[in-house]
Amino acid sequence: MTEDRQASSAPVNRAEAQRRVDQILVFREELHRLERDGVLALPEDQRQRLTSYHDEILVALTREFDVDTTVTEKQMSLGMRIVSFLGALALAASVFFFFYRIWGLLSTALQVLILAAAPLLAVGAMEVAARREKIPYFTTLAGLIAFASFVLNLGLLGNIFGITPSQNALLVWGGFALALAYGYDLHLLLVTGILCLLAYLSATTGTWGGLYWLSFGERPENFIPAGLLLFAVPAVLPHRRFPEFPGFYRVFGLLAVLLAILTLSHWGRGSYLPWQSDSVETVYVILGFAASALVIWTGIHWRWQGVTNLGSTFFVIQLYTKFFDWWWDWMPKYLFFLLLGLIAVLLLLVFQRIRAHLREATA
Amino acid sequence: MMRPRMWAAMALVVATNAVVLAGVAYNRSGEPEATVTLTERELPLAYAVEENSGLELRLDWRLYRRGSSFPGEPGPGWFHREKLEAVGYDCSRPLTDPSARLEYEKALPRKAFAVLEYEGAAWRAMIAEAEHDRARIAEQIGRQEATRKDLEAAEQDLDRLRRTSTRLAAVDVGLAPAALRSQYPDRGKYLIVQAEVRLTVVDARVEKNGVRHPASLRGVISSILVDHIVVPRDLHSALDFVRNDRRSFSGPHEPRYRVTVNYGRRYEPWIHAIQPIKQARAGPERTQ
Repeated sequence: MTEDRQASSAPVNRAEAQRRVDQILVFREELHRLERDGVLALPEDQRQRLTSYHDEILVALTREFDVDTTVTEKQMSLGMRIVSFLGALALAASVFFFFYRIWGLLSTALQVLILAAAPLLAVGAMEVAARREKIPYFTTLAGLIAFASFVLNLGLLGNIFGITPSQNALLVWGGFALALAYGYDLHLLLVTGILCLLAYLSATTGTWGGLYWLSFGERPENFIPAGLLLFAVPAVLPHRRFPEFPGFYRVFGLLAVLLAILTLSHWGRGSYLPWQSDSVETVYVILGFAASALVIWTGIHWRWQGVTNLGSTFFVIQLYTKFFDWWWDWMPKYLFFLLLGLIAVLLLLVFQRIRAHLREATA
Repeated sequence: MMRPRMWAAMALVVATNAVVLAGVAYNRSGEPEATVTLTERELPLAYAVEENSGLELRLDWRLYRRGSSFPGEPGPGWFHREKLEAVGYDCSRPLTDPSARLEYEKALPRKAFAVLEYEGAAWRAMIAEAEHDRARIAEQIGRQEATRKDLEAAEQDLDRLRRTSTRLAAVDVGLAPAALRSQYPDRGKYLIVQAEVRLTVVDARVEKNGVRHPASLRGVISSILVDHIVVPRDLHSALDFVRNDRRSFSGPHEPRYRVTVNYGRRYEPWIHAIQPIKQARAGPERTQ
C-alpha cells in the first residue's frame, strides 16, 4: 500500500522511514556482493563517504521514527504490534464487562457521566502515550479502548433511555475512529472507521428503498455503492501526509463490492433484481468474473499491489465455488479434482503469459 | 499541546452525547404520549448474564391471534392488504401474476408504528377462542377424535391466557402515529410503539371440509424496536424480592409486580413506578 508515496522527499511517517532504511540495507548487501564478485570496487574515500552518509540517515531516522535496522528488530516489532492488538481487544472487553458489573449500582446521572467520560479519558491516554513513544503500540491500544468506550457509550445510552436504534450511530462511530486514525496515523483505527462508514452507507442505501435500516444485510447490493464510494475517497481527497491510507480505502471498498457480488452469485433471492434466483445468480456469476478481472487490471495498471491480490483472490474463489456448485454432485470426485488441477495449470500459464507481456511493456 | 484532530474526536463525543441527551429530554418533556400500568405478565424480568448488575424488563406482546406470542407466526387477520398498503407496501398487483408473487416474496421489512392494546377486546377474544377450543376438544373426546391429553393442553392454554401470559396484543399498524392515536384515544390502554413489519405471502389452501382459501397477502409485526426497558437504580429495590425469588425464570406464575410505563413524544418508553402485588390465593378465573 505504497502507491501515493513520493519517493524523492524526506519520510513523513514511520512507514516511509522504514522503507528508506530497508532500501539502504538492501543497497549495502548488494554492494557487498558486487565487490565480492569483483564487479565493482569503490575507491576507499567514496566508500567512506557513502557509509557515513547512510549511517547518518540511519541514525537520524532511528532517532526520529524508531525504525527497525535489523531483521530481528523487525520481527520483534511485528510481535509487539500483535501483542498490542490483542491487548487492546482484551482491555476493551474488560471495560465492557466492568461497566456491566457496576452499572446497576449507579444512578442514571452517574452512568451517563461515566459513559461519556470514558472515551474522553481514553483519548487523553492516547495523547500521553503518543508523546512518549515513536512506534504507536500503546497509542493503538489506547485508541482501540477509546473506540470501544464510545461504542459502549452510545449503545448503553440507547439502552438506558429506551432510544430507538439508528444507523447514525455507525456514522459517528466511524467519524470518531477516523479522527483518531488521522490524528495519530493508526491503521487499525482507519480500518475500523472504514468498516463503520461502510455499514452506515449500506444501511442508508437500504433505507432509500424503504428498507428498515437494521435489515440492510438482507440485500447485499446495498454494499456495492458504499464500497465504490469508499474506493473513490483517495481520488477525491489527497493523502500526502498519510501515504499508506489510500490503499486501505481501495482494498476495503473493493472487498465490500466483490463480497456482495460473490454472495449474490450464490444467493439470488437476496437481490433487488425482480428476477428468479437462478437468473440473478447467473448475472452475478458473470459480473463476478468481470469485476475480478477489472480489479486485477486496475491493480496492475496503477501498481496497487493490494488491489491486484484482492482481484486474483476473488477470481479464484468465484471460480472454485461455482465449480463446486455445478460439478460436485454429478462428477466422480477424481475427475472433479483433476479438473481443478488442470484449471490451476491453465491459470498459471495465462498469468505467466500476462507477466511476460508486462515485462516486455516495461522493458 | 493536543493535536487538533484530537479535539475533533473529543468534540464529536461531547456533541453526540449532547444530541442524544437532548433527544431524551424532548421525549420526556410535557405530558407523556401514553401512560399505562402493566404487570409482570407484560413486563417480565429480561434475561441477564450473572455479571450484569443492571435490571431490564422485557415487553411481552402477542399478535391478535390465538395461541402463541411468537412474533414470527403468520400474520393476523386484521393485517391484510389494505393495512400493508397503509404502511407503504405496493400491493396493487394480483397474486395470480407470477412476477407479482416474486415481487411480494422479495418485499423488504419496513419501519412502522404498531398499536398495542392492553387487556382489551383482542385479549378477551383470544380467551373466547381458547374456551371454544376447549369445548370443541371435549366434544371430540366423546367421538374419539381427540384424547385427554389434548384436552389438558387446551385447558393449560386457557389457564395461561387468563392468569399468567401477556394481555398486550398488537391490533393495528400505520405510518402516522397521530392518526393512530386519534383512532385509539385511550392513552391508558393503547400504546403506540415503533415496530418492524414484514409482508408475507400465505399460500392457497383447502380445509378438511373442502373450503378453498386463495393465496393472500398478510402482514407480520416482526419486532417492536424498543422491547427492553431499563429499570432505574432508584426502582431496583421494588424488584429485589423478585430477583431473589427462584420462580423468576421458571415458567408461568402469577404476576408479582405492577409497572407504570410512560411513552414520550418520540414513542420511547421509560419506567415511572413499580409496586409489588400482594399475592392472594386465586381461583382459575382471577385476573390481575
